[in-house]
Order: sequence, then structure tokens, then C-alpha cells
Amino acid sequence: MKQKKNIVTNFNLHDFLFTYGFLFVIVAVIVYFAIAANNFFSITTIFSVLLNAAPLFVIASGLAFVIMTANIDISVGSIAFLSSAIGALLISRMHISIWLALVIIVLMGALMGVLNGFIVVRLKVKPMIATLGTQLAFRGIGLQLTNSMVVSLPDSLRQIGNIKFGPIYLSVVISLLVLVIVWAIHTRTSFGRQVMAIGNGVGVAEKLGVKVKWVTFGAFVFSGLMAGLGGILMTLQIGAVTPTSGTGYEFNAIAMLVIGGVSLFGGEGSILPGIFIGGITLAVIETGLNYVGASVYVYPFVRGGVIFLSMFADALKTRVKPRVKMMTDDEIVFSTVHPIEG
Amino acid sequence: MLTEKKSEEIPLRPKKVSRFTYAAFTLGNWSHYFPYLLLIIVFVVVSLFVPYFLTLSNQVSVLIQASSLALMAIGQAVVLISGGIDLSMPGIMALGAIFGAMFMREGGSPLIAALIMLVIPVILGMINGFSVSYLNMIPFVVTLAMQAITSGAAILVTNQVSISHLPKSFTGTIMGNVMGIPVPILTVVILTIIIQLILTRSYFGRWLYATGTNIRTALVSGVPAKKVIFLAYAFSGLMAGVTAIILTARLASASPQMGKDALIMDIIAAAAVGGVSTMGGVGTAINAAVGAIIIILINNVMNMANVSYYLTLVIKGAIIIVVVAIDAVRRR
Amino acid sequence: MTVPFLRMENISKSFPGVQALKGVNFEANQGEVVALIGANGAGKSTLMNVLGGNVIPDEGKILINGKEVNIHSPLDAARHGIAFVHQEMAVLPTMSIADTMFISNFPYKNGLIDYKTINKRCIFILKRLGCNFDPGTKIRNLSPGSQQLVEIGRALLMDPKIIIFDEPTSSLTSHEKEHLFKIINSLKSEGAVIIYISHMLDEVFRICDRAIVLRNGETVGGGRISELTYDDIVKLMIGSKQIDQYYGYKQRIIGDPILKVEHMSRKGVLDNICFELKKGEVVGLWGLLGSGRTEVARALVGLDPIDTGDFYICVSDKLEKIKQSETKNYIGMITENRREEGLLLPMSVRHNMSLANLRGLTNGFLPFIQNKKEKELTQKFVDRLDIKIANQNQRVETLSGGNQQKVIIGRWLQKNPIIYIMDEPTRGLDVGAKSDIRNIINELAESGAAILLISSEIEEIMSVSDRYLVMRRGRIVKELSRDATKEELMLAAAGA
Repeated sequence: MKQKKNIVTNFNLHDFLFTYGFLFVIVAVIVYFAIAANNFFSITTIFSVLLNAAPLFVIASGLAFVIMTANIDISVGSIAFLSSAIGALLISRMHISIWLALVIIVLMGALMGVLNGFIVVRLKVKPMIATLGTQLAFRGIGLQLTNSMVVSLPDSLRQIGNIKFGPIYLSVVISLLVLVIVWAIHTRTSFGRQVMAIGNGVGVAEKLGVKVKWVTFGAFVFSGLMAGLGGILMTLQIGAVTPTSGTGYEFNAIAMLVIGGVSLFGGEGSILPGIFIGGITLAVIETGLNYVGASVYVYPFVRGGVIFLSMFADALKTRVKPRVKMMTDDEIVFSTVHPIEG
Repeated sequence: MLTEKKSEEIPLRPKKVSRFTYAAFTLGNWSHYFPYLLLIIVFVVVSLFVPYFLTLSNQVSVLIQASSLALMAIGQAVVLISGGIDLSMPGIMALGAIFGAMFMREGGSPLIAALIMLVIPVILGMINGFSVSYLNMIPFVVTLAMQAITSGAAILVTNQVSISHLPKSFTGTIMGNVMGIPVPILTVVILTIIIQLILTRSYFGRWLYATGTNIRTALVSGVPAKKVIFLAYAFSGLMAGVTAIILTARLASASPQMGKDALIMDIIAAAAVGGVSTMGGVGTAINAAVGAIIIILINNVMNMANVSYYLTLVIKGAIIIVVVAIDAVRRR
Repeated sequence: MTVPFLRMENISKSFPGVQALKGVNFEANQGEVVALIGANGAGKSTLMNVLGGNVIPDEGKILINGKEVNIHSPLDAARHGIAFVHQEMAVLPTMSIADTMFISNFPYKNGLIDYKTINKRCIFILKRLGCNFDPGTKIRNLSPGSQQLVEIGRALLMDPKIIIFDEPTSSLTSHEKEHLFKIINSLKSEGAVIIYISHMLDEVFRICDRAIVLRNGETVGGGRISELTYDDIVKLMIGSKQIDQYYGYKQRIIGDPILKVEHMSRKGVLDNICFELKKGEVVGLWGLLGSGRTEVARALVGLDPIDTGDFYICVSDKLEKIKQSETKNYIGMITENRREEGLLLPMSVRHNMSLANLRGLTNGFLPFIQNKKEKELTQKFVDRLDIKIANQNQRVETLSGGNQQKVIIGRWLQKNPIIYIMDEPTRGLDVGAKSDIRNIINELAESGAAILLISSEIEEIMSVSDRYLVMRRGRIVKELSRDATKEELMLAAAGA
């Protein structure tokens, strides 16, 4: 790569386009819908868009860590469901306090993350298959516990999810706050930095002193924890836990991440503004579809298409890994004695 | 890796032992006969607990049920062997079935309809294959997106309404018998044999296993790996297409429900339990078919024992993880 | 004269099948740049790996400042003030300079990483190295030379007393090289011990004070640079015994050109490679580590991309132009890393050996492989190459390295292409097997194949080659005929 003369500033056009390219996409989308539907730009629209996206922001921010290590976790939707189900059941049957329930839910999420991490890191099962299995298992356990029935929150709590301060929803504020905190963890803690390092290359990270196994494990735990947290927001908004709560969330979360510039190949991307942009884009597209009167069934179709396109862009972007030759001990050639010389 | 392993001492083959058994043993790959063992165990257990299980009609009905799953599992197996995965099979199957059914509803000939049911999934499979091999995209994500697109399209196109009242000439033929054997079962048996032969005896099969075992070595040795991978996905599309025909005939209708996401779990479980490795390079068509039978048996047992749907999910999830973990541990 | 700051005494290390180091002594003083020189496999990397804690010696001790120290891991080495700047850089492309340098021990303040301190220290170190980079610059935006400076910066972070540079100039432009030399000089004047591993004699003579030469795992000589000449060093590197250049060599009939390569280039890797291979000829592609020989081979068969290059194959007596993607159809490529690219480890010997020739085993009409034919062909080459297996179904991963290599060679023999490229074909084989391979190379050449042989063992390459192409830094710098001596070859490769 051509070295620019000693750079004093941090700016690089290439990087900028990578990260913010999708900003242009979202602007284009907004413009399109503004033309197509009349009251698109009303304040209420914008905020209801954000309300829908709030739980996903939280879930995606945890999932991001796993993806940045070049792994994947598609059980997050089921984790959100199961942990919330446990919490909701405890509240309605055992009447525990809301605060205790919150703590338990988050802990449960983390615990499920521990299971995922164990299967992937210790048993060395491909993360895709492992979390495919746990996605199923968690959903099943949750359905079993709730007997496939809706578990409503007591009236006192049902309102919390939709508290507004003026036009601003509390949920949204919380999700943005969470994004900021996770961003801080990602950019300002060893854990966050080492997660990125692993995505750059497991061998290299190991060589540089990163405890790859532990950090990867931690990423899965973190993802589970965030899924639990996101599940709380989700449940509060609906006011109940339903048998289909959280289904498809992993898909949406991945879409958010990929649109926002987090590469599925690992080591690339940001929490802020990445996830924020990705989330807004997705939410805008869907709200827009709604306003244009598209049938509900179009959504998965469009989402799939958007993901496909983002994948495509992602794959194009991906650096071609240079052929790094590492000399291992048994590759070192030792000249042997010539047969004649003895 | 500094110590050299001694080469394995393998005794000469005693005359009495057939080539098949000998190969199974010396290849050191016990997963070759594990699925058969498992099948026998499950079979015995089920027949003990379910009274009318051993009746012929029940056996036949189980096999017919298993036929669609077996076909899909074989398609999935080929993709798994090549080192990839195909999560879009339910969706592309449903879409093919729906278009074919719609064609018949408009009065089209069942023969052409069957062709449509084959061609559409194949084309979609080729899109998958192209994205993975030539665009370098990740199989898991590509096929996941494809599943979303196709299952969504299925819903869109039918407006959630299933398409029924299909011509008897279609449903009758497929669900009929040839020489006393139901067509679906016959199809599966024939296809399994053909695919098994291709996998184990043809040069394409060798290329496939090589690509899934170590794509770099394959490339250096002149194997056209990209073409092989492309064809693998096209093939799983084809299998989805055949399944579309059989399933539509069996249900006498085509609906978006056929393409729901949960089906993929059964497909992967069938392949994995049957002995196909999710890490590539290992597995056969027979494995997939046997695995499918096992999964169907498990499903039926759970059903009859009134085990909740959800517990079944948990158990299936656990089975997948256990089987794959064992595979992963063995291969390290 | 004070006691040397660093002393390595009587270091011995053996790996299975080879004695890498035999009682090597090495010493270095503060404020001195010592060159560690040797041909491929002489043991210089192993010796420094001992110092760097990557390899634990069987015997011997290390003394720093008079005191004996135990170095059992890179962490130990770091603790004793030893920094190792490796040839292959450990890069995190998407991360910043600051992150790369502190990735395993970030300083904290108030619960979060203290980037203020980090940036200060980064800038300080980078300034010391003469650069002006913003610590937030991403590694992938830096040239390899600058990336190396970051590596050095990382090493300097722990204030090392001993710094080892392993072939540091292999990916540098001449401008960056000058910069590196300036840095080394300034480190030297600050009193560090600098060990410079290299076979680039012009560099060694430029910045080193002393040189120590290893050969076959032993110290064979050295001295003050001011008292040595190029010739002295080369003689030490290769030994004074003359080999019988005619051993195993039979005069061959060499035919017309069968392959012609022109202007093959890849930015940063290969530069204007042009050569010919003739029928029945064995061409030895010689050079020291990192000279680009393997890259030439890989580019030739299309495993690596190229920027420019024209290829011509002789088809029916005339040279015809072909595309890069078609070259592999005529060439049998034996790669240097059999485990990663040569073998299907979990599969059987038979399957591995027939891999390149599968279509040829069918009867032409049906796609099925004829078992009998496959078994016979496999057996034919197992016998010919004397591969020790229990039976054809044995998994190749259970074979010894030498037998594995023979399986790969057997694979190509089955297909019998007109051109062979062999990259380190006898690596890891015992003496008997090595001579077997030599015989096979001769036989193939006699039957009309063209062979491009890459080998790091000078005796081996000299015993079969009809002529030599010497590479250095991605270029073919010299073509030598069969009469060339060991010294001439070594000089051409080491850069005089």
C-alpha cells in the first residue's frame, strides 16, 4: 500500500467511505420515502421508528462482539425470549420485585451465553451450528415453561414500556444509553480491543499475547447478556412475553450490524455510529414500507434482500488476506550431510 | 508436531470377511456404521413401546414421511461434504412447489408443473452456489438470506393461502405405486443409490470430498473446486425440487408453510445424525437417508408419547450439538 | 575488555531427525551490532529462538551481564530485556498503531483505557524511530516498512537491552532500509546489544561491527567486520570441502523450450521474471530465504495472482501463448508445505495418490473410477517410490513426513505432466529417500520432462541441475551454468 507522507491527522478517505458509506444509503432511503408517503417526516414517525428498534439496538450491540471475533450467535432471539419468560413468570407467579427480576433476566442471558461459549470454545463446534442448536433448545425450554401461552406483566409494569417524556420514549433513551456504554466498552477496554484483534487473526492475536479462548468465550457471554437486556426492553414494550417473542431477532440484528459496517469476517466495524446507522436504516425501511401500504409479508422478503446486498458489499470489501508465511519449527530446513562426504 | 507418529499396523484381510466390512473397519471411521446401529436401537426401542409400530402399513407410512426429509437431507449432505451449508432448502422448496401448483391451478399440464417445481429450486440453488464460489460470500449468510427471501416470497405470492384442488393426475401418479412400492419410497431409494454411487465411485465424488477436506490441496492438485462447489448447491436445489413434487402430491396442496424455517433443523439433524460431518469431507447419501429415518422415528415417538412440541425442539437441538461436538472432538 | 553483556554457551538443540545446534557459543557486547550469518538451515533462527524463548535448548546456558538466566517463554525473554523483531510481522490490519502496540497490556485510568498516556508514549517511541505517524493510524494504511517500524516500536516499549532483528530488510524499499540503519545506529549508541540476522552481505558489511557464522548448527568462525572480506564469510558459510559436482549427474539431451515465461510481475513480490524451461532439463531455482522462489512457482501455476506476465507452452513443436489460468493443466506442482496444501490428511494413501488423475482412471465414457486400475496404478508408484505403508487404505496423516512427501510426488507421477515444479521436494526426508528423489528427478528429465527445482540445500540443487537461476528479492539476478561453484552460487544469492 502506498504510504502517504507521514500522516499527522487521523483522516483517511478509504476508511471514511467504508464506515459511512451506508449513511448515503439511509439518506437515499429517507428521501425516497419522503417523496412516496406524505406524513413520513412527522416527529411521531421518527420516534416510533426508534421505539421499534430499541430492543434490537441492545441485542445487536452484544452480538457485534461475537461477530467481530469472526464467530456468530444466532440464538440471541431465543435468549431474549427465554430470559424474559423466566423473569415474567417469576414476577407473575412468585411476585418478586421488578428489580430482582431484571437482574435475574440479565444473569440468565449471560448464563445462556456461557453455554454457547462453552460449546464453541471448549467443544470446538462451529458457532453457526452450535447456536443453531441452542436457538432451538432455548426456544423449546421457554415454550415448555410458559406452556406456549402468553405471560402478561402485571398492570403496574405494563405501562413502563411506553413511558414517554414528551415525544421521547424512555425505551429509546435507555437503548441509546446502552449503545454508548457498549461503545465505550468496545473502544476503551482491553476486552473490546482484544475482540477486534481476534477478528484480525487468531494466530496473530495469540502471538501478541491475547488470551484468545477467554476473550472469545467472554464475547459469547456478553452477547447473551445483551440479549437478555434487549429482551427486557422488548417485553416491556409489548407488556407480555408471547410464544413468538424474539423470533427472527437474530436475523434483524445481523442485518443491522452488516448494514452498519460490521463485517461478518471479523475485525471490522463500530458500535457507534455503526449499529445506530444500521438500525435506523432498517427501521426506516420497514416503517417506510408500512406507510407505503406494503403487505406485512413483504418485510422478510425485503429484509432478506437488504441483507443479501449488504453481504455482497461486505464480501467485496473484504481484504484479500496476504499470504503470510510463518516459519514453524518443522519448516526450517537443515542441510544434511552429503552422502559422499559422509 | 515434532514427534512422528508410527504408521498404523493393519492386519491382512481374512478371506471370510467381506470387502465392505473390512473397509469399514480399516478406514478407522466408526461413524460409518454408527448411524445404522443407532437406527437399529431406535427401531427396537420404538417397536417395544408402540404396539402397532411393526405393522406393514405403519412402516410404509413412516417411510413415506421420511422420503421428503431424506431427499432434502441428501441434498444437504452433498453441500456439507463440499464444506458449506445450505439453510435455504425449505424456502426454495416451498417456492418451487407453489409456482408449480399455481401453474396447475391455471390449468397447466402436471408434467410441465413438475418441471417448474424442479427448475425453480435449481436456479435458486445456482444463485446460492454462484454467490459462495465465485463471489466468495459466506455460505451460512447467503443461504440464510435466501431462505428469508424465498419464504417471504412464498407468503407474498400466495397471500398466506395454500393452493389446493390439484389435478388427480398429478397427485395420483406421485402417490401411486409402482410394482407395489409407493412412488416416493422408490424415488428415494433410486436417488440414494445413484447419488451414493456418484459420491463414492465417480471422479466428481472424489473432487467433492477433496474440496471439502482441504480446498487448497484440491486446487493445487487440479481439482476445479469452484465448479464443484457451485454444482453442490445446484444439486441441493435439485433435491429441494424433487421434494417439492413429492410433498405437494402427498399433501395435495402447496403452501408457504412448507417453507418454514424450522424445517432446516430437521434436515441438518438428519444429515448430522446419519454421519455427515458439518465440517466437510465426510458423509454419504446413505448416511443422510438413514439419518432422515431416525429423525422421523424420533418425531413420531415424541408425538405419540405426547411429548410437548417444545421438548422435542430441545431434544433435537441437544442431539445436533452432541453429534456435532463428538464429530469436532474426533477430528482434532 | 569487559565481560560480554550477552553470552550463550554451548547451546545444543535437536529436533527429530536433525541436530539443529551443536554446542554453539555466541557473545555480544553492549553498543555493538553483531551479525549472525548462515545459509538456510544453518541454525541461526533456532539460536535466536532460544534467546527469544520460543525454543528451549537441550543443553547450554545463557548469561546476561554475567548472571545465568532461564528463558522458557517469550514472556521470560521480555522480562530479561530481550526483544525479537521477527521477519514476519504480526499485524492487526484494522487496528490502530496504538492498539497494536498495547494490545496485551493497556494502561488504565478511571476504569477505561488511558489513551492519553498511550498516545504520548506512542508518539515518543515513533519519534525515536524518526516517524511522525498519528498513533490512531490503522496498520493497513501503512507500508510494510512502516509496519515494521511499528513492530520495532512495540519491541522498544519495554526498554530492551538486547534487540534481535531477523532478516529485517526483506520487505523494505531502499529508502526504508536507510531509515532502519539509522535507527539501528542510534540504538547502538544508546548502548543496546543488537543482533542482526541476515544473509545480505552488503548490509552486514554496512552496519555490523562483528560477524559470527554458523554452518550445520555449529559456529565455524567470525570476527570483526573490518578484518573480513566477502569471500571469507562465504567460505565460512559453505565450508571448504568441495563436493563432487558430478555425483549423480548424467549428461542429458536437452531439447527445445517447452515453457517460456516473460515479464511476470506482481507488485511487491515479483519483478519482471523471465525464463525458459527446455525439454529434459532440470533448472535449479536457487536463492536464500525470502528471495521469492516459492512465489514464482505459485504464480506460475496460478495459485497466486499476478499483475503482468506472458506464458508460452510448446504444443506440437511450436510455442503457443496461453493464459495464466491454463498453465496448471501442463504443470505438476509439488508445494513446499505438504500438510497445508499437499495432502488430504484424513484420506487414504490411494485417494491421495489418485487425486490429480481421476479422470484418467475412468473408462472414458462413464464417470466411474475403475477400482482395479486405481489400485494397480497406486501400487505401481508405491513400489517405485518405496513408500512404506501398511496398505493403500492407510490414512496419510499417519505416515512419516518422508513418506507423505513421496505420496505427493507419486500423485503427480500418475498424471505425468510435461512440466514439474518441485518446491523443497526432499524436505524432511532421510538420506536414502533424498537420493531416491534425486534419481526420480533424473529419470523424469531423461524421459523428456522439464523440471523447475527449488531447494534450499545447495548440494542437492547442484547435483541435479543443468543450470541455475539465482533469485534475490523477487528478481532473477543471475543465470549460472552447471559449472558454477558453490561460492559463485552463494555470492549471487547473498548479494555481492
